Amino acid sequence: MSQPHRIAIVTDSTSDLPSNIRERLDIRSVPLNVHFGAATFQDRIDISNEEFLRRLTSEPVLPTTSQPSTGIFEMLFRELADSYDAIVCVLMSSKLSGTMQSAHLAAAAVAEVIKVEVVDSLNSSLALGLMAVRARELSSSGEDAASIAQTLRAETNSYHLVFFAETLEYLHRGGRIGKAATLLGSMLQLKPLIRVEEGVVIPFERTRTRKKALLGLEAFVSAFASIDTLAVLHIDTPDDAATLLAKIAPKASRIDIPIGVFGPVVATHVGPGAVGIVVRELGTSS
Amino acid sequence: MHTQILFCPTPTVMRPEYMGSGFVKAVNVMYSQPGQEDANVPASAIPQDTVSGARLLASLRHAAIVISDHRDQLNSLNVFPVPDGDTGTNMSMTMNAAIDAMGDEDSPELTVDRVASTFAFGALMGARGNSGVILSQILRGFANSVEGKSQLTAAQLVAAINNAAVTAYKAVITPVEGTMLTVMTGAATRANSSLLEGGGIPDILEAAAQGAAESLSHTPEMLEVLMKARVVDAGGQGIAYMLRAIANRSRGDTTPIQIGEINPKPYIDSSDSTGSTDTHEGSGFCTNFVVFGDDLDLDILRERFGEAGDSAVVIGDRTVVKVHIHTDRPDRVLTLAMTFGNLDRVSIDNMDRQIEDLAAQARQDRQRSATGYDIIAIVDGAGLGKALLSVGATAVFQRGSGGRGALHELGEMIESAESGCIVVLATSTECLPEIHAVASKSGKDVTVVEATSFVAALTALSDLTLTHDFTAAVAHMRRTIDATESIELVTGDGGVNLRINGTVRTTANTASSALISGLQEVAVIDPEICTIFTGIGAGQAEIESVLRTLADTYPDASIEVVEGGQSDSTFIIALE
Repeated sequence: MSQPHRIAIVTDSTSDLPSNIRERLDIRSVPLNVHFGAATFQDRIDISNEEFLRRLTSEPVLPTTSQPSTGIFEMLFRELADSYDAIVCVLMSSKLSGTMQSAHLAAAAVAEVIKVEVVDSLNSSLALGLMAVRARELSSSGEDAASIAQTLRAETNSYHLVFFAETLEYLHRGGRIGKAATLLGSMLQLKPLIRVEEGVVIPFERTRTRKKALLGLEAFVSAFASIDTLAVLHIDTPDDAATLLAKIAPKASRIDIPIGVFGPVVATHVGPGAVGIVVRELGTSS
Repeated sequence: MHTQILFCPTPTVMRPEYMGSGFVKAVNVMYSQPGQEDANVPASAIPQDTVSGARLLASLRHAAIVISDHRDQLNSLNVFPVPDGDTGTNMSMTMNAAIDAMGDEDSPELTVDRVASTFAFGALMGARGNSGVILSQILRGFANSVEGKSQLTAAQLVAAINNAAVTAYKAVITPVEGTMLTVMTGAATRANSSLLEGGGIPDILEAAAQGAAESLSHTPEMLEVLMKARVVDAGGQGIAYMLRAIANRSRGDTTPIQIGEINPKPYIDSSDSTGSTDTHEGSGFCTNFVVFGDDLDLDILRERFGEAGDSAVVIGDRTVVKVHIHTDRPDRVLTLAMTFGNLDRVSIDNMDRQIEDLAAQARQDRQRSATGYDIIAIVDGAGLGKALLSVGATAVFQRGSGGRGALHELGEMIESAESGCIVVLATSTECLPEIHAVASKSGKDVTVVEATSFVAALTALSDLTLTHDFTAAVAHMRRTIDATESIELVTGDGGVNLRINGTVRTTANTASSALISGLQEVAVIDPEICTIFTGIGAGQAEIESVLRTLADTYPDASIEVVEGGQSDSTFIIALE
């Protein structure tokens, strides 16, 4: 190539990528919004995890979340056009959020200025985060934006996000409960294991206790033939996360981000006490 | 100043499946507008019936207020695309962001261009949520159309309304009917008709408001999730409110808008829990089809179909028309349709059956196991049955105390179950030979899994992965049952019997002392949840003492009391 092809990688704040990783890999993140009553906070920017958790558990009204406006994406894309040749923008599932919608409109608006590839991860949290990291890996090895986008789309099936919530209430109130809605109103309390598949929330085990749910997460990981990388996610239970990680870490070829924290937007929908795992399989593509 | 209108037919609302092969016409609007010369025409020379910048600003401000007033109602209607109850808040905040962008500007010299573009920009940056984004695109479409203009004539206003609808469609990756897009299109359609009939600006705005309301009332027919929730589309309702607000204001009417003004045929206002407001008496058929022809005249079609049934919706253009109508005689409607052209995509649904079917489907969705086999649990106790349904049983058979005779009903339940593979889960040792006999008589593939106790059955079910296949499920359940220990307390004349895994171990004076022996023997370490299932005849004082015993032994556990309704024990204790 006569001129280096500089590619900007953009994702959204639900990717739950630690900020040092984002800085090192030059991955930009567009914040979603968390609303407590009339007050609006940009996810992971205006409000810290601790402050968010404090408010989540003490305020009478649950917070809500919303997608970034088209304008915010547009402004970022135009800014990036000064120093990059193309943008790959990988975002949370279009079936769970309108973030893709906003990005698409912005991409169309700047089409004359810079090429933007918008990719639906059909996932969220660190599954999305790992896809953004992958995008950067691909660009570092010389791939152009279109080819990176194509690869990401082909690989969406290899990323798995699995978690359990202490209660289904948060998913229910936030409207993202998906197929787990059939478990609501059950006579006995459940902490079901849930995964995100084809962009939507699907329950796959009716566990009753936290202990069993953690075991269930472990069992989920064991079911994979070969794992490229994995990570454990939690909100405010670092000990459970560490214990779980110790058990499953040997199953992965490499671990770049061992433990992540569900950021405020995701936490609003899963609630305190949630623990999850993200797995990237080796060797599958759709 | 003349305005030449080339034509301006209705924007065509088409979902891809309604297209004939080979073409996709997303929207088709043609209009012409006078050149830019009017931007410099002095105010005195402009006809009275125009929209000035100041008038537009006042209208949009009023619309924003009305949306805010109805914010809570719109939130409660919100079920599509995700039921997160924030459409009202989102549209309201988007409009407010647009208003904030205007700041305090209020000069009478404000141009329409300035107002529209500032509003659009504010909405673009401040758009909240899916409905906010679409609303911001509606405003952008309007703004693009009025670029460079200081005033709007009736024709230019109509053109702008059309462009607003077109732009909204382009904004959505997968346009869906039954949403704000449909309502905005309905508004544009009627605005077009009004213009052709020579309407002035107040007439056009009135027509737009009516068109929006009419389309809104049909949204539940277009979007299944709305029909299921029995609501109209929240975003669409918001658009309808705003257009009604603007129309009223153009006549000088700024009184608050009632819900009834918007829905000529209301479906359920979500605060109305009294049931169906379906306006059809007797049976009727929901009939849908597409007519392909040359030179179709929408007005004539509307008139003819309007006479043939109720709630006729006729949309399209000169070559493709989609019709939706409620009628007792679908055969007559189709015969009529065939006189206009070729039919395609015909569907006829019995509307009364539709409601029943939806309810049955919901039940089935709830009960059906994901993997293609049914689990029928045999219990004694209504509450116990419900508990097993919670953790995955697809059906429950109440055996009643000593009800051997009724077991043939179990056979019927097996036959009427959805799948060909059935697990019959026994939760005690009662009637086992009879159960096996019923199972083996069935033509289906039936396996009996014997749980020695209700708790064993409960644990076996709740441990089951929703993706286990039939064979794996049976094996897994049996393993779990073997590993589970159950405690039952039976109050009788001689005291309270402690039963562990079905066998009496000891008798004590009180339930709590029997329980204490049981807890020692079973030695469960650190359960997270203790569930007490109370049988018929469990007294309040007894329940409380059992509760206290558990709480003292396991201070960190959460304890639930469930009315099990069983007759063969006073208390069943599950420790998980």
